[in-house]
Amino acid sequence: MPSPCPAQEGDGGHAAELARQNGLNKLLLNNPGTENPFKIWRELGDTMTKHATIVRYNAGLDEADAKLVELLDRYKNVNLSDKSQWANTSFAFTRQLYNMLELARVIVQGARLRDESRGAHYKPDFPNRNDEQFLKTTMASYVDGAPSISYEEVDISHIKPRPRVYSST
Amino acid sequence: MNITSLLGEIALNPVDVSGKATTPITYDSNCLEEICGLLRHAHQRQGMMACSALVDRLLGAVEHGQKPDLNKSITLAPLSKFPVVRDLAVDRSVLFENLKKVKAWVPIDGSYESGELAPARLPKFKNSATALQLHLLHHLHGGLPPVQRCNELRRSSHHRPGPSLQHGPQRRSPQGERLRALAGDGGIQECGFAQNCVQGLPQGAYHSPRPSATWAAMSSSSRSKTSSPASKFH
Repeated sequence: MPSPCPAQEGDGGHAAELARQNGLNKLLLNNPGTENPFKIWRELGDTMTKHATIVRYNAGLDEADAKLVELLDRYKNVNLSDKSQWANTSFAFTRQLYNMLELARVIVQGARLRDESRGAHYKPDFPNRNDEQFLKTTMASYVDGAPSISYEEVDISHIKPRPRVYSST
Repeated sequence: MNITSLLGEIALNPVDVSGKATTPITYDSNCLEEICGLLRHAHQRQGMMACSALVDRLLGAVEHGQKPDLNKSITLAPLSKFPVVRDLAVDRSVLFENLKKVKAWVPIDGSYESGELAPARLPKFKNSATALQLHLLHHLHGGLPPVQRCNELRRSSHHRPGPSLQHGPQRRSPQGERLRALAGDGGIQECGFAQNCVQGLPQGAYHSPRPSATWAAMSSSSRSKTSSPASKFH
């Protein structure tokens, strides 16, 4: 029987990934831009708090996604005020900031496509849960520099979905 | 506003006193809920947690509605008992190593039972920190007076006077091993001056006003071994 985890060819892509990460790090430390990563982060936080918390509107989510595209663009122009190699927390932070921005787009786009209210997420324009269309897990993959949303069926063979009602009767 | 958000504001526009651009301040932070104890600093030589240190209060607005004195300044310094990594970031790995030494966790049953339930704590010692915690607090709060001997274990630490490490909610603990680590070679008995704990700890961190609070806590850990079965399921 063949092994379920076949051996990787060569080094399994280690050298290539290391070179890619080193390139990114070097770019970040030498980027002669003008943007402060902490400011971009603050704007990201404001945008997500405004548009992608409990109450969501499609118009707001569209606005948020446009803002995220803008922030990702500004991220390319980022300039670390700290370029040292020792305990540089701004550097680690700025690396994470990129992931935050990409992940924020996944959240916003996933929310935008669900025209329903489910769990703690409430769209006043669509106040009811829509199991027919959206009883699915949202999946995102990274295609051509942007999230691509797809869906996966939820296994309901054991428990049939029923309305969530909190009244005592 | 707390010290953490203050440091965040500084990172938005890091300048030095003369207005020249500089690097943002390096610090460690994690939970920001006064639990992880990662982000700590010394303010006017008193150690405190930056996430719960309110700027208003430090500037004198202690009562509700009182205006802070904006002419006052806040001095931040790294904790003095640890090696500084950079700015406010310090290397606290010694704490973790010592916590490992005294097995500062509550074992739970795995696929097999991991031993009997430890006896319930005596109500008398309900508010007193254990020996271990006294040391941790002591150390983290930076209030350690000069001492001749400051061995490894005395510097072992957990960061707040919460529920005792000796008895978690499961009331199950490797007390014997813990006691051995605390009282064996390199243990706290090598500290020649128990008053350090009393002087160094923040007020109210221990229950007993006696200078031998440490020993009270120590003996409570050994006493609980022999406590009556009636107290077992409190």
